[in-house]
Amino acid sequence: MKLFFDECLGNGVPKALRLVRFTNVLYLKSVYRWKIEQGKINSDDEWLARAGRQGWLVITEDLAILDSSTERSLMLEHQVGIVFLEAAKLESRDVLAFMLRRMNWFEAVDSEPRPFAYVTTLRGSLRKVEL
Amino acid sequence: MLYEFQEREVEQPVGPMFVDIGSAAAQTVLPGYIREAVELFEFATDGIDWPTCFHPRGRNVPLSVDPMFRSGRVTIVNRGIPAESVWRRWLAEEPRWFIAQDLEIDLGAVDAAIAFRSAV
Repeated sequence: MKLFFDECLGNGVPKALRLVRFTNVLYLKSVYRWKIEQGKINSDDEWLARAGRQGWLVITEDLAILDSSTERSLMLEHQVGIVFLEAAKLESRDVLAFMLRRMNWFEAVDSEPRPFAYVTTLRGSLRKVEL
Repeated sequence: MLYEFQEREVEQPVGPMFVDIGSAAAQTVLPGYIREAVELFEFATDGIDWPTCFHPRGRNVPLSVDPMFRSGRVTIVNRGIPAESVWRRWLAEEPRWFIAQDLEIDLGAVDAAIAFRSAV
Protein backbone atom coordinates (compact mmCIF):
# COMPACT_ATOMS: atom_id res chain seq x y z
CA MET A 1 0.00 0.00 0.00
CA LYS A 2 1.17 3.49 -0.83
CA LEU A 3 -0.73 6.35 0.80
CA PHE A 4 -0.91 9.61 -1.14
CA PHE A 5 -1.91 12.63 0.95
CA ASP A 6 -3.65 15.49 -0.80
CA GLU A 7 -1.92 18.83 -0.27
CA CYS A 8 -4.92 20.22 1.61
CA LEU A 9 -4.01 17.89 4.51
CA GLY A 10 -0.55 19.37 4.95
CA ASN A 11 2.87 17.83 5.24
CA GLY A 12 2.94 17.14 8.99
CA VAL A 13 0.85 13.96 9.05
CA PRO A 14 2.66 12.17 6.20
CA LYS A 15 5.98 13.23 7.70
CA ALA A 16 5.00 11.91 11.15
CA LEU A 17 3.86 8.60 9.64
CA ARG A 18 7.19 8.20 7.88
CA LEU A 19 8.99 8.89 11.15
CA VAL A 20 7.27 5.90 12.72
CA ARG A 21 8.28 3.67 9.80
CA PHE A 22 5.26 3.84 7.54
CA THR A 23 7.61 4.37 4.66
CA ASN A 24 5.12 4.21 1.79
CA VAL A 25 3.59 7.60 2.46
CA LEU A 26 3.61 10.42 -0.09
CA TYR A 27 2.53 14.03 0.10
CA LEU A 28 1.28 15.75 -3.03
CA LYS A 29 3.45 18.81 -2.70
CA SER A 30 6.56 16.72 -2.11
CA VAL A 31 5.85 14.60 -5.20
CA TYR A 32 5.36 17.70 -7.37
CA ARG A 33 7.63 20.10 -5.49
CA TRP A 34 9.85 21.02 -8.42
CA LYS A 35 6.83 21.85 -10.51
CA ILE A 36 4.93 23.83 -7.88
CA GLU A 37 8.00 25.84 -6.90
CA GLN A 38 8.55 26.80 -10.50
CA GLY A 39 5.00 28.15 -10.56
CA LYS A 40 3.86 25.51 -13.03
CA ILE A 41 0.33 24.24 -12.89
CA ASN A 42 -0.14 20.88 -11.25
CA SER A 43 -3.73 20.23 -12.23
CA ASP A 44 -6.16 17.85 -10.53
CA ASP A 45 -6.22 15.87 -13.74
CA GLU A 46 -2.49 15.27 -13.53
CA TRP A 47 -2.22 14.04 -9.96
CA LEU A 48 -5.41 12.00 -10.06
CA ALA A 49 -4.17 10.29 -13.21
CA ARG A 50 -0.85 9.51 -11.60
CA ALA A 51 -2.41 8.26 -8.38
CA GLY A 52 -4.63 5.96 -10.42
CA ARG A 53 -1.81 4.74 -12.64
CA GLN A 54 0.49 4.00 -9.70
CA GLY A 55 -2.23 2.45 -7.56
CA TRP A 56 -1.74 4.94 -4.75
CA LEU A 57 -4.48 5.26 -2.14
CA VAL A 58 -5.48 8.94 -2.04
CA ILE A 59 -6.30 10.51 1.33
CA THR A 60 -8.04 13.88 1.30
CA GLU A 61 -10.37 15.99 3.38
CA ASP A 62 -11.79 17.82 0.35
CA LEU A 63 -15.26 16.33 0.16
CA ALA A 64 -16.30 18.95 -2.37
CA ILE A 65 -14.52 16.77 -4.92
CA LEU A 66 -17.57 14.53 -4.71
CA ASP A 67 -19.83 17.44 -5.70
CA SER A 68 -17.96 17.91 -8.94
CA SER A 69 -18.98 15.76 -11.88
CA THR A 70 -15.66 16.62 -13.53
CA GLU A 71 -13.62 15.28 -10.66
CA ARG A 72 -15.82 12.21 -10.26
CA SER A 73 -15.25 11.51 -13.95
CA LEU A 74 -11.51 11.87 -13.46
CA MET A 75 -11.57 9.38 -10.61
CA LEU A 76 -13.50 6.90 -12.73
CA GLU A 77 -11.35 7.44 -15.78
CA HIS A 78 -8.09 7.01 -13.88
CA GLN A 79 -9.33 4.17 -11.64
CA VAL A 80 -8.57 6.02 -8.43
CA GLY A 81 -9.01 4.65 -4.92
CA ILE A 82 -9.74 7.49 -2.51
CA VAL A 83 -10.68 8.00 1.13
CA PHE A 84 -12.28 11.25 2.29
CA LEU A 85 -11.83 12.36 5.89
CA GLU A 86 -14.98 14.14 6.99
CA ALA A 87 -14.85 16.73 9.76
CA ALA A 88 -16.26 20.19 10.31
CA LYS A 89 -13.03 21.07 12.11
CA LEU A 90 -9.86 19.28 11.21
CA GLU A 91 -6.81 19.24 13.40
CA SER A 92 -3.63 17.52 12.19
CA ARG A 93 -3.15 15.69 15.47
CA ASP A 94 -6.59 14.11 15.14
CA VAL A 95 -5.85 13.06 11.57
CA LEU A 96 -2.57 11.49 12.66
CA ALA A 97 -4.21 9.64 15.54
CA PHE A 98 -6.94 8.38 13.20
CA MET A 99 -4.44 7.16 10.61
CA LEU A 100 -2.45 5.26 13.21
CA ARG A 101 -5.57 3.75 14.73
CA ARG A 102 -7.06 2.68 11.40
CA MET A 103 -3.98 1.63 9.42
CA ASN A 104 -5.22 -1.96 9.19
CA TRP A 105 -8.46 -0.75 7.64
CA PHE A 106 -6.52 1.30 5.08
CA GLU A 107 -4.52 -1.84 4.23
CA ALA A 108 -7.75 -3.77 3.71
CA VAL A 109 -9.47 -1.15 1.61
CA ASP A 110 -6.38 -0.70 -0.55
CA SER A 111 -6.77 -4.26 -1.79
CA GLU A 112 -10.26 -3.58 -3.21
CA PRO A 113 -10.67 -3.23 -6.97
CA ARG A 114 -10.50 0.38 -8.13
CA PRO A 115 -12.11 2.82 -8.58
CA PHE A 116 -13.68 3.32 -5.18
CA ALA A 117 -14.41 6.12 -2.74
CA TYR A 118 -15.03 5.99 0.99
CA VAL A 119 -16.02 8.76 3.34
CA THR A 120 -15.04 8.34 6.97
CA THR A 121 -15.31 10.53 10.02
CA LEU A 122 -12.40 10.63 12.42
CA ARG A 123 -14.53 8.62 14.83
CA GLY A 124 -14.62 5.84 12.27
CA SER A 125 -18.18 6.15 10.92
CA LEU A 126 -17.82 4.94 7.36
CA ARG A 127 -19.73 4.91 4.07
CA LYS A 128 -18.88 3.87 0.54
CA VAL A 129 -19.78 6.35 -2.19
CA GLU A 130 -20.77 5.57 -5.76
CA LEU A 131 -18.60 7.45 -8.23
CA MET B 1 -20.69 48.09 -32.10
CA LEU B 2 -21.73 47.50 -28.49
CA TYR B 3 -22.24 51.22 -27.95
CA GLU B 4 -24.50 51.31 -30.99
CA PHE B 5 -26.41 48.33 -29.61
CA GLN B 6 -26.83 50.10 -26.29
CA GLU B 7 -28.08 53.26 -27.97
CA ARG B 8 -30.50 51.36 -30.17
CA GLU B 9 -31.83 48.61 -27.90
CA VAL B 10 -31.53 49.62 -24.26
CA GLU B 11 -34.32 52.05 -23.44
CA GLN B 12 -33.65 52.54 -19.75
CA PRO B 13 -30.20 51.28 -18.86
CA VAL B 14 -29.72 50.62 -15.18
CA GLY B 15 -26.28 52.12 -15.44
CA PRO B 16 -23.74 53.01 -18.06
CA MET B 17 -22.68 50.09 -20.20
CA PHE B 18 -20.39 52.16 -22.36
CA VAL B 19 -19.54 55.80 -21.97
CA ASP B 20 -18.89 58.19 -24.81
CA ILE B 21 -15.87 60.14 -23.66
CA GLY B 22 -16.66 62.88 -26.14
CA SER B 23 -13.56 62.76 -28.24
CA ALA B 24 -13.69 63.96 -31.81
CA ALA B 25 -13.93 60.38 -33.01
CA ALA B 26 -16.80 59.61 -30.56
CA GLN B 27 -14.64 57.13 -28.71
CA THR B 28 -16.37 54.91 -26.16
CA VAL B 29 -14.85 53.30 -23.12
CA LEU B 30 -15.98 50.77 -20.56
CA PRO B 31 -17.05 52.31 -17.23
CA GLY B 32 -14.47 52.08 -14.47
CA TYR B 33 -16.18 49.36 -12.49
CA ILE B 34 -16.22 47.08 -15.51
CA ARG B 35 -12.52 47.66 -16.10
CA GLU B 36 -11.88 46.93 -12.42
CA ALA B 37 -13.79 43.67 -12.73
CA VAL B 38 -11.89 42.70 -15.87
CA GLU B 39 -8.63 43.28 -14.01
CA LEU B 40 -9.56 40.44 -11.64
CA PHE B 41 -9.09 37.98 -14.49
CA GLU B 42 -5.95 36.54 -15.99
CA PHE B 43 -6.12 35.79 -19.67
CA ALA B 44 -4.36 33.18 -21.76
CA THR B 45 -1.33 34.42 -23.65
CA ASP B 46 -1.61 31.99 -26.53
CA GLY B 47 -3.42 34.46 -28.76
CA ILE B 48 -6.96 33.42 -27.90
CA ASP B 49 -7.24 35.66 -24.81
CA TRP B 50 -9.74 33.57 -22.93
CA PRO B 51 -9.89 34.00 -19.17
CA THR B 52 -7.89 31.34 -17.35
CA CYS B 53 -7.97 32.48 -13.74
CA PHE B 54 -10.05 34.76 -11.53
CA HIS B 55 -8.85 36.53 -8.39
CA PRO B 56 -12.01 37.02 -6.29
CA ARG B 57 -10.42 39.44 -3.82
CA GLY B 58 -8.09 41.24 -6.20
CA ARG B 59 -4.75 40.49 -7.85
CA ASN B 60 -2.80 41.26 -4.67
CA VAL B 61 -4.69 38.67 -2.58
CA PRO B 62 -3.32 35.11 -2.97
CA LEU B 63 -6.63 33.43 -3.73
CA SER B 64 -7.84 32.31 -7.11
CA VAL B 65 -10.54 30.51 -9.01
CA ASP B 66 -8.72 28.38 -11.55
CA PRO B 67 -10.46 25.55 -13.37
CA MET B 68 -7.21 23.56 -13.26
CA PHE B 69 -7.61 23.25 -9.49
CA ARG B 70 -10.55 21.75 -7.62
CA SER B 71 -12.95 22.33 -10.49
CA GLY B 72 -12.70 26.06 -10.06
CA ARG B 73 -13.40 26.43 -6.35
CA VAL B 74 -11.54 29.14 -4.44
CA THR B 75 -8.02 27.94 -3.64
CA ILE B 76 -4.69 29.36 -2.58
CA VAL B 77 -3.17 30.80 -5.73
CA ASN B 78 -1.27 28.22 -7.82
CA ARG B 79 -2.05 25.48 -5.30
CA GLY B 80 -4.81 22.94 -4.94
CA ILE B 81 -5.58 23.99 -1.38
CA PRO B 82 -9.20 25.11 -1.03
CA ALA B 83 -9.89 28.13 1.19
CA GLU B 84 -12.35 25.81 2.92
CA SER B 85 -9.52 23.50 4.05
CA VAL B 86 -7.64 26.36 5.69
CA TRP B 87 -10.88 27.45 7.34
CA ARG B 88 -11.54 24.00 8.82
CA ARG B 89 -8.11 23.91 10.39
CA TRP B 90 -8.53 27.40 11.77
CA LEU B 91 -11.88 26.33 13.28
CA ALA B 92 -10.00 23.50 14.99
CA GLU B 93 -7.90 26.22 16.62
CA GLU B 94 -4.66 25.34 14.93
CA PRO B 95 -2.41 28.43 15.08
CA ARG B 96 -2.22 30.41 11.84
CA TRP B 97 1.56 30.10 11.74
CA PHE B 98 1.25 26.30 12.05
CA ILE B 99 -1.30 26.09 9.24
CA ALA B 100 1.03 28.16 7.05
CA GLN B 101 4.01 25.98 7.88
CA ASP B 102 2.18 22.70 7.44
CA LEU B 103 0.57 23.65 4.13
CA GLU B 104 3.78 25.39 2.98
CA ILE B 105 2.03 28.64 2.18
CA ASP B 106 2.54 32.24 3.33
CA LEU B 107 0.82 33.51 6.44
CA GLY B 108 -0.87 36.07 4.20
CA ALA B 109 -2.48 33.25 2.24
CA VAL B 110 -3.81 31.72 5.47
CA ASP B 111 -5.29 35.07 6.50
CA ALA B 112 -6.78 35.62 3.05
CA ALA B 113 -8.42 32.19 3.04
CA ILE B 114 -9.88 32.70 6.52
CA ALA B 115 -11.14 36.17 5.65
CA PHE B 116 -12.70 34.91 2.42
CA ARG B 117 -14.42 31.97 4.05
CA SER B 118 -15.64 34.11 6.97
CA ALA B 119 -17.34 36.45 4.52
CA VAL B 120 -19.33 33.84 2.61
